[in-house]
Amino acid sequence: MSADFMLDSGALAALQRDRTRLLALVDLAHAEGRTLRTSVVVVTEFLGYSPRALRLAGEYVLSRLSVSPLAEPRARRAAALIHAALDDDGRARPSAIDAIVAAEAEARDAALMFDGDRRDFEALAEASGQLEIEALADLV
Amino acid sequence: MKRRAVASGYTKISATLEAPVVRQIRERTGNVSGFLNEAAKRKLYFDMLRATADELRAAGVQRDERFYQNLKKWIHEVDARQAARRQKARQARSR
Repeated sequence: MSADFMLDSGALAALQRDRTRLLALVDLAHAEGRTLRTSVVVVTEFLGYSPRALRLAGEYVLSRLSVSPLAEPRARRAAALIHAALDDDGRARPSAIDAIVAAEAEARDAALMFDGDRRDFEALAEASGQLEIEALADLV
Repeated sequence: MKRRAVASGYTKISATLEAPVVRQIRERTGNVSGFLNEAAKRKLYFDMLRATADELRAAGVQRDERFYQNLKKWIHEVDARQAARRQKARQARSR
């Protein structure tokens, strides 16, 4: 079984700005049968904060993704991940959206590519124990 | 696999499958028609990804090769770790 890709808002914003990387991701996903995924809450964050000039490019990127809805069990799991991340050493402060996309990736065994606060995502991965994460910056 | 038309737009199928295949279908979907619908959706999705790649290339976009290779290496490492975790979980269940 091969892992799908889960993207956070930061990763989407990076792909929105750089179509050479979008093409690389699309090519790999197609070649290996991996779905590009995100969570519905990321849609709000990503489109909501897209600069006006990039909104169309944002819609283009988003339309290539499978968007998961959010139900209460996933929201509760995200809350549990935040609790564990906060309790761990108190330095990470993952947002609700980061935690929801992390919980979604965890539930689907998807690999989460992010371009945000590394400490927050590392704390969420630590809390999960099985969440696979990678900063987009480390892949370029 | 036998196919039999039952109504306009639908085809009924019957198939003899090896037990492990049936078990995998049940584990993944809970029902066979759900599995077939899922397969059709996946095919459409990957057709769309291919069309997107063609469209980007037609617009003159060149793939970031370094990103592609790093992405591929990472996701294969993820697959390997997940497979190891699943095997460990299976072994723990069978004990």
